Amino acid sequence: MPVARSGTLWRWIFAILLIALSAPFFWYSKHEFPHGGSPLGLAYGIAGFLLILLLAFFGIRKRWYRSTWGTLEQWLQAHIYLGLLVLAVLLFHAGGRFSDAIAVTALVLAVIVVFSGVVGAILYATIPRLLTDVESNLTVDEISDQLNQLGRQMARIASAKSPQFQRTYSQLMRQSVPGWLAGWRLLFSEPRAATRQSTTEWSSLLGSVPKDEAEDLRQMLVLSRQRRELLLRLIYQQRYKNVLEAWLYVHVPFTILLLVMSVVHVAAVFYYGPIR
Amino acid sequence: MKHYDLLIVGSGPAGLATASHAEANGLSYSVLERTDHLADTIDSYQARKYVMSEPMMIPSRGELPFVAGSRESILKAWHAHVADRKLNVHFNADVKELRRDDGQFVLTTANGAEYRGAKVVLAMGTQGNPRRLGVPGEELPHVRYRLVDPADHRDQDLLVVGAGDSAMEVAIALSDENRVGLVVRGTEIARANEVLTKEVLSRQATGQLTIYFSAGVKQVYDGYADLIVRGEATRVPAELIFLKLGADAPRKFFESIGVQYSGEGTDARPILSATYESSVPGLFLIGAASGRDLIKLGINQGYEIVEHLMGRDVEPADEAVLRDRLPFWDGTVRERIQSLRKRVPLLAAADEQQLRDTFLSAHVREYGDGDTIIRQNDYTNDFLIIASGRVALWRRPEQAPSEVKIVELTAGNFFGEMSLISGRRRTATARAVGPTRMIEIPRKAILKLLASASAARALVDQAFLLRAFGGYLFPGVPESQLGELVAKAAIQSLPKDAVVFREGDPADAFYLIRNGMVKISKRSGEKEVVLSYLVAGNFFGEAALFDSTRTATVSAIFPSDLIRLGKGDFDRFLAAHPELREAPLRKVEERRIAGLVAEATPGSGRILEDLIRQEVVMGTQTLLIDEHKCIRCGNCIAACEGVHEDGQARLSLTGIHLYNLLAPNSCWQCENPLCMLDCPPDAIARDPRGEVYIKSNCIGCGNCERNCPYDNIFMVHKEPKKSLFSWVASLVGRTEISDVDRTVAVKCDLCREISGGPACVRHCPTAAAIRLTPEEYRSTLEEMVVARNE
Repeated sequence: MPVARSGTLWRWIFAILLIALSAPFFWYSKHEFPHGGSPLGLAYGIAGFLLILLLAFFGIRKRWYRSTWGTLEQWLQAHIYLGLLVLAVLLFHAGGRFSDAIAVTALVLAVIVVFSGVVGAILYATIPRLLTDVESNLTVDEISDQLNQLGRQMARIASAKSPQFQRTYSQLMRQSVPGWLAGWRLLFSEPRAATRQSTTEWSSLLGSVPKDEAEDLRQMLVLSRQRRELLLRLIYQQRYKNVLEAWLYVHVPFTILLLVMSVVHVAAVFYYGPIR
Repeated sequence: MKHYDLLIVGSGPAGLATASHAEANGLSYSVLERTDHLADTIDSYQARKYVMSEPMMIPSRGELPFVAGSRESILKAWHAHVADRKLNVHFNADVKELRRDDGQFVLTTANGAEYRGAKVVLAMGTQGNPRRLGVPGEELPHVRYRLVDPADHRDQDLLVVGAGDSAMEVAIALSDENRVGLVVRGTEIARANEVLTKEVLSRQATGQLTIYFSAGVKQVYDGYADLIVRGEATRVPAELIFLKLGADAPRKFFESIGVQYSGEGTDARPILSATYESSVPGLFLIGAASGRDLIKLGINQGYEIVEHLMGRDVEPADEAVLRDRLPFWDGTVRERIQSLRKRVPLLAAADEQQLRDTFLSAHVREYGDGDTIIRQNDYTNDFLIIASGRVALWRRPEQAPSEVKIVELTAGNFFGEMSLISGRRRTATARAVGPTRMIEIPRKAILKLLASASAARALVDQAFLLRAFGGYLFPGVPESQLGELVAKAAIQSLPKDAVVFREGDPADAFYLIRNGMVKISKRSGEKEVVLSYLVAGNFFGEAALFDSTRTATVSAIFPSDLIRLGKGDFDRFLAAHPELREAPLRKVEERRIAGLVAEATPGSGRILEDLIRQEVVMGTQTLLIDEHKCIRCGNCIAACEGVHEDGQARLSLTGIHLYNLLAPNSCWQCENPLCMLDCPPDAIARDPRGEVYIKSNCIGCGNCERNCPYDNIFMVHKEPKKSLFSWVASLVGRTEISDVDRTVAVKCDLCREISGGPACVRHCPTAAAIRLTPEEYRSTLEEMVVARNE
């Protein structure tokens, strides 16, 4: 069974296409004034537009499960390398002239789309390993089971104890309550549960309860620490999963905008002629 | 009093078919039905039970409609037929007496009515004669023989008595919503089919029902019952008691009217002519009461009797099909079977009726010189009989470059018993020598034949032992010489995790794995080191034949059957045949060296071991996901849902983890597929590459779903594809209620129908999902796991 990656193949295709496409540009930029309306510029424009359509088609191909036309992995590799190529093609098309507002908008959108795609590719290549490490073969269900179990144990210990003990218990439990916009904050800030309790904090906590409860509190603090470890694991799992998806919230909408802008650009150019 | 040409007792399928065909032929007849409704046996099936129309290959003849379907649909069709043809059925006519008077039969019913007829057909089934407890209180109204609809019962204390299939079915159906006790006479459930037994036992384990083993009912009271459990009296609550003890043909009644039987035992059948006429001239016996309890056979018997009475010759319903199945011989099927029985000892060990049933699903094929009949390592499991010609068996030993000829078999011999018994791949390649005709019998059909013909079973078992032992220890020695040794072998059945012997035990026997799997391990300090795993068809403990203590521990990792050959028997055999001593000694030495090499190579096969321990290696096409590449996009699951019309994903991203590899729950195409064990229509098949798939004749019984230890079979509604038309029709309220709305079993079939392979693998954007066969495990996995440390 091949564990083949078609990446190498597409790197070669990318290199060859890049050379094949840039050579005519440098040749013609020496002989005439390069711009989008010149015959070669138009050819680059058409190629760029078709490439954008093909790249956008990936979204459809990804969900076209009955298709047996290549594997999705091959398609994704093609998507990545043709995506990089399209930027070059569009720059050749513009020929260094950025005066048409619609065209420039489309180009900016294309840059955003390609850039977010590159970010996505990097995330895809790096995050899964980190995710596998924090998962350490525990599923979300298993972790939440263990969390609940630890919570129950802590509740058992805390029941019928002094008010100070109970206050500590509820403080510890509150750490796991998600706050405002928790999902989005997960992407960036340190989770609340990660704030460390220092050993001095521990000893002051232990001193705050009646003597005969100190041993139970110590036990509860240990459980709470285990609980925090699991919670962090859960949070990081979710964070990595969110990260793997978040870039698409830029990539996909901007692709749609880019498609619209490209169509507008093409229509405008053919209707009005180039706006200089 | 009216005089009839034909009196028919019983309005089940056999009786109704007789009546319907008599009506069509203008005979005067009357059907006498004991109860107040048609077909009491079918009527008493559980609501919505699916009724099959076995044997599938035989047509159902005559006028009475019969296609497989729900109990309700079949009864509805019969009611309509009776009304339509105005069939003459007398209800509440319980025949109590049958006598001859003036060359006629006179039947008297319980309410005193008399019926006269020239001929009598007894088609009364066995339902009217259920086995009883014979204890006080049995006649109370809350003691029932049938369960109408499990949905009628909720939150009740119920008792089910019996240990057969129908007792299990009732207990399972009721235990969903009630507190059910199951009273079983023996110390275990031995008679019922394996799936039901397993289900009942697992429900007991989870507390959903209580099984009283070695138990009997002593007395029944209103609301409770006294049981004797293992000799001690116990009182248990019982709002209702269901007796499911089976039923008997009313033999006493039959014998009282002069019908003779073939013997005394419970499996004796009434002696009948080819036209089902009993030893009393003019008295015919058909259906379950005659010992053939398949609905379709009963219907055909009724048709044939009327044809016979009309003076027309009628050939058996299976005649045309069987002529087709046995094409290379002349004459009637009976003559063809006779000539085959003369040539093939195995066939001579079964009777004609058993062979007719078996040949219905068999094929005869012709092979030219050198043609391959079966191929080593394929997963086919037909049983093969050489009708004429010769067959050479070839085997390629592991890692050997070319194959060697093991034996040449002549006409009358059979092979394929190894795959049949152990469920493993083919152990040899068979090629025709000269023009050869093979009878190829599917696994299920041959198993059925062997279960009913014990003489044939003994022949196959003996051949299995001879070939397995002979081929392993005494290659080249003729089978005839090994007979006396093999005769001493005994079968030993082990549950999962049972230890066969321990390191240091005295060595007293040598074993062959008939089916299942064992683990061979050694202690190394505190740790257990697994030396190897052996599957069916392998031997172990052979060193015992020449040594005195065990050097390793062997335990079963699945329920396994072992064939044990005692050291004493072996020594006596070698003493009698000293010239045979050389070959087994050499084999033992070979194995010993191989064992030492494996021990001396630390880490070899470690990954494989882990996988076997976690039972992944059972699969022949396991899906694995490299979590270092997996971006958790879920596209594999979406693709699986997308390519199947029912929208049910066959995999989930949970399963067995091993380093960075996940073996997700999807079908593992097991080496020994437990799902195939008990499929009533034989709808689960495997192709030569080992892929297990479910055919379209699934009846949705759910046996395979329950049988799969990995929860990888799903029951889904097979919804007809929504068309635009049906959608519009549904808007104006014209929804068609489809009869096909029933559940069917689905599982991962590796996307057989799509070119390019499984959708999950093709739709993984980062190639994290791959499918591996066991042979690819070691290299690929080590590669992948090593890659993780880079």
